[in-house]
Amino acid sequence: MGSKREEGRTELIAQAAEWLARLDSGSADPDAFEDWRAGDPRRAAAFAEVAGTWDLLDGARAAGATAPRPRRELDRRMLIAGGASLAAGAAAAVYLGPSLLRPRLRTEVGERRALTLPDGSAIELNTDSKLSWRFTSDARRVWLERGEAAFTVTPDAARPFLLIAAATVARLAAGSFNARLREERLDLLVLAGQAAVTTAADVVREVRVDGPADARRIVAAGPAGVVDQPVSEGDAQAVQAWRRGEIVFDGQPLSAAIEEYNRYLASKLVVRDPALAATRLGGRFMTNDVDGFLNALHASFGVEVVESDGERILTPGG
Amino acid sequence: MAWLREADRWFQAAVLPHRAVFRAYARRLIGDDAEADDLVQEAYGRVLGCDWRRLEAPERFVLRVIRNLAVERFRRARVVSIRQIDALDPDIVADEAPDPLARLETRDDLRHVLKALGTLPPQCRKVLVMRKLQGLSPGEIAVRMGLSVSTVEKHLAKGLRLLTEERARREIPQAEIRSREWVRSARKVGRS
Repeated sequence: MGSKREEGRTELIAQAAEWLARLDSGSADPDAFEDWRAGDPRRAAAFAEVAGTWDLLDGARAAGATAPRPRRELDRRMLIAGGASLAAGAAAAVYLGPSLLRPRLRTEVGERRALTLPDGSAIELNTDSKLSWRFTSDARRVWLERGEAAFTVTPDAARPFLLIAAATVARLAAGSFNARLREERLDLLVLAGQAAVTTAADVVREVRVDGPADARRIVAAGPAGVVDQPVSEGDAQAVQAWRRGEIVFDGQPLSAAIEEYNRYLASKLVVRDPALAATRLGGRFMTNDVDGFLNALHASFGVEVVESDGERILTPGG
Repeated sequence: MAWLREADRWFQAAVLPHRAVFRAYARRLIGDDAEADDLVQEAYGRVLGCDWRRLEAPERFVLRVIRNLAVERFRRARVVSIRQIDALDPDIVADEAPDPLARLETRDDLRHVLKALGTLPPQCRKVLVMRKLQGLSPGEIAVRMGLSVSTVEKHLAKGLRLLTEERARREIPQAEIRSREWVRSARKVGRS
C-alpha cells in the first residue's frame, strides 16, 4: 500500500459499480469515466471485476442455443403413497357454506384431501380444489367448482351420481373416474365404469370402460362440445399420479410441466426464456418436493433459479 | 461490454478465476481480512499496470506480488508472527505448480451469483432482475417501478456491488488446503 491515503477495496468496488450502472443507462460522461479508471490501476481492476459480475448475469439470460438436448427420463424415484393420512383432516374441511347450504370440501394449494360421501362413494381432492354435494331422494349431485378430484362411485340404482362442472353434467355409473376442471372445460377420465356426459348445448356422449382390457377413455366437455378418446395405460397412470403425491412428465415442454407443478406451489415457477420453455422433459417427481424437481432440472439442463418477489424464475444457466 | 479494454478482459479471464487462492493466501499472511483484501486489490493493480502480455503464469505472478507487498508491510510493522514467516518462504509459491482445481468454475460462478441475487434487498433485486434477466432498459424499469432513472442506477450499482463482494467471498475448498500445504512444504525445506 502506498503512503498516501487510498481507497480500500470495498470503496473501489462501490465506485466501479456506480460507474458501470451510470455507463449502462447512458448518464455517465465517458471521458470522466476514462479519467477515473486511468487514475489508478486498482480502479481498473475493480471495474473489470464488477463488469465480470455484470456479464455473468447476461449468461443467465443466454439464448437457448446452448440449451442441452432433452432427456427422456430425469429421475425415476419410486415413491410410497401416503393415502392413509389423507382422510384424517377431511372431516374438518367439510363445512356448510353460508349461502349455499351444501356441504363442501376444499383444499389449499399443495394440499390433498379424501372424503367418503354418505352413500359410501369416495372422493379425493387434489391441490387448490373445491367441490360441494347434495344428496336427495332422486339423485346424488356433486359440483366440482375448482380443481381436480378422483371419484370412486358406489352403485345406487335409485339415485344416479351426477357430476356437475363447466356447464356439463356427467352421469357416472359405478366405477372410478378422475375429473379436472380447466377453465371452461371438464376433462373426465373414465378408468372403469360408464359415464354419460351432457353439455349445455345438449350434446350427449356415452363412454364405457367395462373390463381391465378395455382402453381407458378421456372425455373433454365444455361449451365447445365434447371430444372423447382412448388413453394409454401410461397416460391414465400419469393423470392419476397426484393421488400418490407424484407428478409425471413424459415429453411435455418445460412450460407445460411448470404449469402443472405450479398447481402445487404457493411460490410459482416462471420460465420466460422461449428456448428453455420449449425444452421437453420426462420424469417422476413428488408434488411436495419442488427442490428435487429443480435439482433435476439443474443437473440435466443446467437450469438456474432466481427467487424474486415470491416467484422462482428459471433461467438457462451458463 | 464496450467499456472493457483488452487488458481488462485478460485480467478477467486469467487472474480473477484464481481470486479465492489469492484471498486465502493474503489472509494467511495478513491477520486482518479487510487489509488482506486491500492488499489483493493492490496486487491486481500491479498486474494490470505491468506488461501483462509477457506473463506466462499470471496467477503465480500475483502470488509473488502479494507476498512482496506483505513483506513491505511486515518491514513497516516490525512484528511478524512465525506463522507468517513460514508462509512467506518464496519457495512455497515459486515451487507450486499452478493447480487447475484452484480456479473458480464459471458454471458454479453463475449458480453462486444467482443464489446471491435471491438474497439482495427487494428493490435492488427487482431492478437487477428486470435489467439483466428480463433485458429491460433502465428507462423502462424506471417507468414500471415509478422511480427516477438515477434511483434505478443506484439500485443497480448497489446490487452489482453486493454481488461482486459475494463472488469475491466465494471459496474453493482447495484454496485453503493448498495454502496449508505451502506452509507445510516450507517447514520441510527449512529442516533439511
